[in-house]
Amino acid sequence: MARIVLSRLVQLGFTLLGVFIVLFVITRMSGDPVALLIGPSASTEQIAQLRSAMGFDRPLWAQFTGELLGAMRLDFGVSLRGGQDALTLALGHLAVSLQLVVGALVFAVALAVPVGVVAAVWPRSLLARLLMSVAFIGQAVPIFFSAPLLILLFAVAWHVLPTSGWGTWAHMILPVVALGMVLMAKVARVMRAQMLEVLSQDYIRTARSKGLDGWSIVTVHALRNAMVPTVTVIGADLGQLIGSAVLTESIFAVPGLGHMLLTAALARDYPLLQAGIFLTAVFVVSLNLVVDMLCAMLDPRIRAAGARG
Amino acid sequence: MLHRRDLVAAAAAVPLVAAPWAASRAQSPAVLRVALGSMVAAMEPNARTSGPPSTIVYYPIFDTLVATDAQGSPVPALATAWRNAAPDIWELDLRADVRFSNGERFDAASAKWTLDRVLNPENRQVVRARIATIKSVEVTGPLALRIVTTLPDPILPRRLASVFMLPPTYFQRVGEQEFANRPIGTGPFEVTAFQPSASVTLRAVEGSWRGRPQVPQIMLRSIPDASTRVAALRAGEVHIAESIPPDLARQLGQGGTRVVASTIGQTNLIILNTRNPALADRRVRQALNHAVDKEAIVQQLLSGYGEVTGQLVATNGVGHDPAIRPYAYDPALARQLLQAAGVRNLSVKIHTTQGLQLMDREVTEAVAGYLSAVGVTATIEVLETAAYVDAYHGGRMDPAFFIGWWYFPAMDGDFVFVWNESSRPQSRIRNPEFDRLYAASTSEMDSEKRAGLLRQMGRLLHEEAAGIFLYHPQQTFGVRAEVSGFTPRPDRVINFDTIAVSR
Amino acid sequence: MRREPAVLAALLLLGAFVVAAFGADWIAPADPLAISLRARLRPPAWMEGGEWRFLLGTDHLGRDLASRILHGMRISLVVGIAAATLSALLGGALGLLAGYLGRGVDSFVMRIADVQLAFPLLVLAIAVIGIVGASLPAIVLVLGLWGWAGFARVVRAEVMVQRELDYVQAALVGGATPLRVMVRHILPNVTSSMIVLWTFAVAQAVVVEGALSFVGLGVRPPAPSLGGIMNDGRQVLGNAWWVMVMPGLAIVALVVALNLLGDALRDHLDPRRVQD
Repeated sequence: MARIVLSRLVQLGFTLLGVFIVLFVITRMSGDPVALLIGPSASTEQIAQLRSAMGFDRPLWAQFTGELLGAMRLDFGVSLRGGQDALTLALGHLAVSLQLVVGALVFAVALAVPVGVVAAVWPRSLLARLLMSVAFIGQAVPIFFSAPLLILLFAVAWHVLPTSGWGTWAHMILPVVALGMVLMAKVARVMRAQMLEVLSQDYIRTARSKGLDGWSIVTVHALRNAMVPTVTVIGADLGQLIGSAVLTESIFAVPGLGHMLLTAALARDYPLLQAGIFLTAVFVVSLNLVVDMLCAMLDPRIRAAGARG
Repeated sequence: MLHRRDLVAAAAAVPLVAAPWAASRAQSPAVLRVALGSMVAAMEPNARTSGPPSTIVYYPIFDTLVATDAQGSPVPALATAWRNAAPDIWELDLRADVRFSNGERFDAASAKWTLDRVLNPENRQVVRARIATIKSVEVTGPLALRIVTTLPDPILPRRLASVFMLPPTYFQRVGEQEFANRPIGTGPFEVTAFQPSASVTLRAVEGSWRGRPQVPQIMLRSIPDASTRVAALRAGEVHIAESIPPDLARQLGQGGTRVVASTIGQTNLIILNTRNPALADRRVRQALNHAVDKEAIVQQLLSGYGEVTGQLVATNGVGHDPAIRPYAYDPALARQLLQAAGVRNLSVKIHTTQGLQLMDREVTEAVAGYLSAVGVTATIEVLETAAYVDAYHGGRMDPAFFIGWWYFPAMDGDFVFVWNESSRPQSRIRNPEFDRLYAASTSEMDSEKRAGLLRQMGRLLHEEAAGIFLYHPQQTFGVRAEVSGFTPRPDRVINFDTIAVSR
Repeated sequence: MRREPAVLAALLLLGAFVVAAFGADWIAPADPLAISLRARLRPPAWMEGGEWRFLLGTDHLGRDLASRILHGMRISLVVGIAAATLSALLGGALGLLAGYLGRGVDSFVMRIADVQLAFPLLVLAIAVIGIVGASLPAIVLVLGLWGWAGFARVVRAEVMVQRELDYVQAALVGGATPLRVMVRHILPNVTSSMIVLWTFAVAQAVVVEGALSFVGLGVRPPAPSLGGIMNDGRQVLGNAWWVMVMPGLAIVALVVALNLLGDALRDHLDPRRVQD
């Protein structure tokens, strides 16, 4: 067990290095932040001066090693636009993003799990297809449509919820619902697939043939067994979800990591971008580690294959 | 570096079960709530950002030496008078009995300190570009400054409208980082809470030379999405929302909301690269101007929030020539001119941003449509802001691009004419006569003569059709009925001193 | 599958979609690019103020919405299919290698997948498009690059299971090279789940292209895409709802149909296979 964790930590190191290299290359290739910072009224000499003062005229290898060494000390520098410590800033935004994404997942699971279960118990029925369709609609409607509609309805017309912002339970509701609706499709699909898998297994069929009540089989045995892989699969996507929540964050003015990364990328705010992506990478890899360990514990086939290969 | 207290602070971002939202909404009406498109990341005003909407946040807290009134003229702020003692020397008298909100005195020494700080290249102050003509600043009395410029600079006082005065003693005591979170200025408001890039709360203070404002508290927050901003206004969550796109503005005007609009010191146009062989003939460029129905663009696409124009400077700036009429919409004439110039199959790609200016992309699409209607193959290319700015400073984006050139807060045409001076890489025109006029204008100390030179430059650019002139944009604010005393300024700043909120 | 009305309906819808999209040049009533500012934001024909010339109304530049939607369907489908195919090819190949060869190769591929997962789509899009410029191939590249990890993960898991099965052992004993085993024996067995994933990926790509339009990185205007038209209509949602709702209905129909089809395919091909 300890060996697995250790080897995963080493892998985390490689991943972070890979992330760092990719980030450095693409940011340096797509323009520098100086002209953006200084605004259009500056002359070329002034831009050159500012670039020099910020160290962007050093040779690339010098910039790279400097930033890499800094990253290894967890020092990503300060945000080019505001001067605050990049990592602290990113951490604060990550906290907000996590609340949003976890909330959305809970919402999606609450609504989509029943749908997936029903669709699995009566797999080819019209009801099942219709229910799944409803879940799919959530994914099909772009969030920049559903979110403003929710705002118009609940905030402007009915005045029961705030339009935007973050800080109280009330502020969380609309963004969580909007994002959750998008996730419903995937949750329903995974739940259905896992339930089908479990329901077709021998021990379930044995229990059925022994005359156990259909519903208790579903609720007691199958659901419990299907939930864990479902949750692990969905949880593994959590990292990507943080980035995918960017539109939700923009529309609802939620100060999350997705929106922060977007504005940092648009403004070429390298330190902040690096700190944010670094955090996302750590998060994704750690989550994968947890998910893989859980999967290995649960699925004997993979465990066996892992032992051999 | 990461400190433990920073981790605690990060964790504290978790929302606890704070005061129920509904209760906070029924707050005292004495708080003026404002929604902006973005919020500054740090509170030191001259350092990292320039231009709106950041200046909306700084103006309640800080002052400049020279300010701008609603008509675009320079007015005294922390400087009460200024004279041109010699072509390269300006003398300023500073206002007496001004104190920062912490009691520190404002005087010539502190003004010099602020200007020196901005001018020092090591401090990487973004605003430095605006006052780069200053060579040195000398204190000639407790409230007197002498500014020496490298070359004669006729508009130095106007340039000073961009630099906010800081308190040196306090700044040096707390340091740059701390000041960026807890700033002190000479304005009638001070900061009580600040969430970088999210929100800031201001409170009125006693003893400011600007007097006591009507609202005791202001809360400004960032709502990046325009439709959400409008929704917040309609729902009563904010009293003022800035930068309302024209189509969304139609939703206002009933139910206790209204639109307040005014022309700002800016011109939006399509720059044409006169050095591109396809556009080298003036008749071709004039044809393109005649091909576009600018009135329709302003009335239909911008819902009337704009002024059709044929020049770079509006009535609110120095260099405006009332005799310059916009090019008339005349597609037949456009075709004639194209034919006379012997042009067949003209192909024009217009580059533009999306969202940097209101309706930038939509206006460009409309222009492309009009050009297509007279036989020009017009395509558009949308660039991300960073790529666009890069290409702009590099002299790329051939043969045409949409741009919004602004000249506030100085409200002087120099800031837009400069881009056409042929030594600049951003210039798409090489006109020796224009260069001559421009050089003369930068050293002409007589303001009347100088204004005449600027008008001449404007006429030249108009006749040369250096671009497809479009319109002077208007800023649009959504305002609730409870708000009174709101007068917009041509530099896109909100003057909170006169605003009152009733119940 | 033929006995399921819902799936049949989905198939018919998709068929109609494809026909309408690729026949847009002939079916569309007007030029999707023809601008007329005075005709902007006209409502659909059956509403007051509408005209039959503009069946579904006009957008903010006076362009016929029905024509734009038809052409947009084509572009969205092309982008979606191309991006999903790219993801499938890339992810499938890497997943096959990782699952079969195991150890170092597996570790390497999974690390690359982790690196890619750390980059949000929009950041990736800004980077790629910032370098190569905005164009249809660039968008396909971005969407394809973003989605390969999902394919890789599924294929890898399946291959790791298949690798232990008897037929593979038999082939190896019979003298087949690893490459031959991977391509001739294992690959056909994972193809079915890849096809299922592919239908979901097409649906997702169509929707996500709209997200790219949100930041100005979508299909280059004035060429329409379903997501792009919806994005254009954001600011007129209050007074010209049809600009968003009409393409929205098209997207919903397409995505729901694709998802239903994917589920049905999975049921048909192997109801017991573990999917993602």
